[in-house]
Parts: sequence; structure tokens; C-alpha cells
Amino acid sequence: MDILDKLVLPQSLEHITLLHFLSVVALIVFIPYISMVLGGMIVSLYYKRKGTVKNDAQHTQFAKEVIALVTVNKSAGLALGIVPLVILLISFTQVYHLLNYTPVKFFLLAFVTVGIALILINVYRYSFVFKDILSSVEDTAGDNINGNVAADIRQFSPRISQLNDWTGKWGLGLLCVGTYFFVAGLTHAINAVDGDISKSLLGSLLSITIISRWLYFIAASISLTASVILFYYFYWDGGKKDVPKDYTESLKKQMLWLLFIALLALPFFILVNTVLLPASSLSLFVFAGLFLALLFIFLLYQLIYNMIKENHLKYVHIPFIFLLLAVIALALAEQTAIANTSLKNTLIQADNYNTLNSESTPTK
Amino acid sequence: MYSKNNSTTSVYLNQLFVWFGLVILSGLSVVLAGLDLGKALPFIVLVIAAVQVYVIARAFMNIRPSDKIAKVFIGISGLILAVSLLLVVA
Repeated sequence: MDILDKLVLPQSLEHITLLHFLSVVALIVFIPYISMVLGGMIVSLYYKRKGTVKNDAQHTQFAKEVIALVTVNKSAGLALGIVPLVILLISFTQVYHLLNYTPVKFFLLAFVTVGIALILINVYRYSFVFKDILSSVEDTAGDNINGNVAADIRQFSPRISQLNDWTGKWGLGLLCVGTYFFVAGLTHAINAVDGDISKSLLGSLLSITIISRWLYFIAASISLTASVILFYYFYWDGGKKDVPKDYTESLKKQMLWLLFIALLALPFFILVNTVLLPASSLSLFVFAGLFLALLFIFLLYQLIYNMIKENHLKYVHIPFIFLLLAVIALALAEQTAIANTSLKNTLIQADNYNTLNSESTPTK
Repeated sequence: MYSKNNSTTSVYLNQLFVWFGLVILSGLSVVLAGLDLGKALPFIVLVIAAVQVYVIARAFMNIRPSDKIAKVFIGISGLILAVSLLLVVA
């Protein structure tokens, strides 16, 4: 971390304010994207296993579609997953210069693990496609396939299946670890002045504050993914047409219940994490952001309950929009808490900058 | 493949993601300004700007690098970028 410390230039107050704004933008882009990927991986692996156990191709197809939906494409992983983490890393290096480098260390760990996880998840996604192509060629062409090609297919089919299993499990595992480091980085940033979290890696792994915030992140990820699936399958472009009706019916029920259960956990985690916030991070804007997020969640309870009870999909597009707004409100509250914690350090840095500036300006 | 769906709404969705990517790349240029990277800083910032130009040309202007005229302009802009970098290093 000494290298990063030496690289930081003296910061003006305006530059640090700009860094806080950019951190909000990076959080607003990163959190929904990585939440969707994490929740999508959990749903995809669950349905893949269900498809294998029940020997149901529809579940396996759904697992393949979900991961393709949430990862968007390869460039999205870079632009919405990796670059925002780099922005947060550089931004926090400057904001926490002279104060505490623990958040930066965790962001660096998150950058490495999330980067590897996104690569593995993209391999998982494309291996699904290749697995289907090979089995389809084998099924349709049958005995007409050239001898060498048939041997290649026989050789590569099980390998691609193994690759698919391996990258799926490791991708999800590493993404869980990466998001844990990311949450630990944010928690250390909020607790940098008067929080009582151990700064060591092992201490952070066992910290109740970080674990509760990470569980909160997982619950939010699952609810956001369920809302995206509902939005895509039942609203976007008039809903998905090429799925059998009985399957969409069961999917509708499962996703609505998953969304409802994951949402039920959110207010509890918001309450616990608010209680655990240190005094230095609190302000009216932090509470306003948390209140807005809770308001969206409670409104969603009404709509989802109505959809489950009346068995309709009139409001199916609303959960995704409201959850995105809730995530934006929470990201704003988070960044405001960080800005409040680092306020004193910001003023010290600005003062150092002004002193250096006046020393370097020639006097008349 | 969802990203290759040609419906109007999917095109808008793709462009929205591209826009987010551009915002993030602009943010990266700004946060880098606070680091003492010496002569490497203008180089990195110019590379980020070049990536942004490429993304805009591909996503919003529908220019394909395989087009002949596009190749000429990519060559000219590459030359200008190289001269700018030389001026930075010199």
C-alpha cells in the first residue's frame, strides 16, 4: 500500500468532493450489476442441478438463459464490473490518504477476486452454449458425422460438461469471496474513524458487522435477480414467447415467492446495519437514503402480495424499477456515510493542499 | 443470445449499457488525475479517450472497422494519437 500512498497528490477540497460524486456513480453502476451476476449465478446453478437431478431439459435451459441474461456480455463485465472497482480503489486511495488504508487493501482484494470470478462466470456461460451445440450436432447429425469430427465430439462433450460444472462452482465461490471483500472495504471505510472492527484479514472475516452487511448484500442480490427475471420473462418486449405455458406459470410462482422471501429479509438487515453505523458517519442524508429504500421495499410488499394472491402480473415490471431505485438510495446513503466519516481527513488534506499551493505561488 | 437480439428495445438496452460504460471510463480519467503518475498519466488518459471514441463509433455511429473508409480514419486518428503521445513523452 506504500506505493499507492506515495502516488497520491495533495488534494483540494473540490477534487475530494468530485471523488465522492464519482464513487457514488461507480457504486450505482457496480452494485446492481454485481448483485445481478451473484444472484443469477445462485439461481442458474440451482436450476442446473434441478435439471440434472430431475432430468428436465427445461430447467437446464432456464439455467443457461438466466446466466446469459444477467451477465449481458463480456464487455459489460469489464465496463460495469471491473472498471468501477478500479475507480473505487483509486478514489478511496485519495480520500483515505493520511487516514487509514484498510478499505483500499480490501478493494484491491475484491478487484482481484471479482476479476477472476467474472472470467470464470463468462466461461460458464459460454460452455453452456458449446455444450448445447455439441449435443445438438450429435443428436441431429447422428451417424452422418465424419469419423474425426465424431471422435472430437465424443472427446470434447464430457470435457465441456466438466468445465461447465467447474467454472460454475468456482465462479460463484470466488464471486462470494470477492463481494465479501468489497463489503468489507465499504464497512472499513465507514468505520475508519470511530468504528471497532479489527483491521486484520482474519479479524474482518469474523466481524459480525461485515458478515451482517454481506448477508444483506446477498439478500438484495437475490431479490434484484428475481425481479430482473420477472421483468425479462413477463414484461420486456411483451414477455418471452418461446417458453411452454405450464413452465412460465411455475416460473412465475417460484420467482414471485423468491422475490418476496428475499425482500422480507431486507428491512431486518437495514435495521441491523443502521444500528451498527458509527456516530461519525451519521447525518440526515444517510437516514433519508435508508428511509427511501425502506419505502420502496414496503411498497413492493403490497404489490407482490397482490400479484401472488390474485395470480396476475399487472405490476410485474415495478419490482425491478423500485429495487433499482432502492439500490441507488442505499448507495447514496453509503457514500454519504463514507463522506461524513472522512470529513475531518478531507479538511486536513485540503489544508495541506492550500499550504503547498501558497508556498509554491510566487509572492509579489 | 440476448445481446444479439435486434428488437428496438434490446438496441436501446445495449446503448444504455454502453452509456454506463462511457460514464465509468470518464470517471476513471478523473480519478486518475489525483495520482502522481508522471508522464504515464497523459498516455493512460489518451488511451482511455481512444477506447471511448472506439465505443462511440461502434455503438452509436454503427461504424465497422472492416469498412474501407473507417480503416482510413482509424489510421489517421491512430497517427494523431501517436504524435500526441510523442509530444507528451518528448
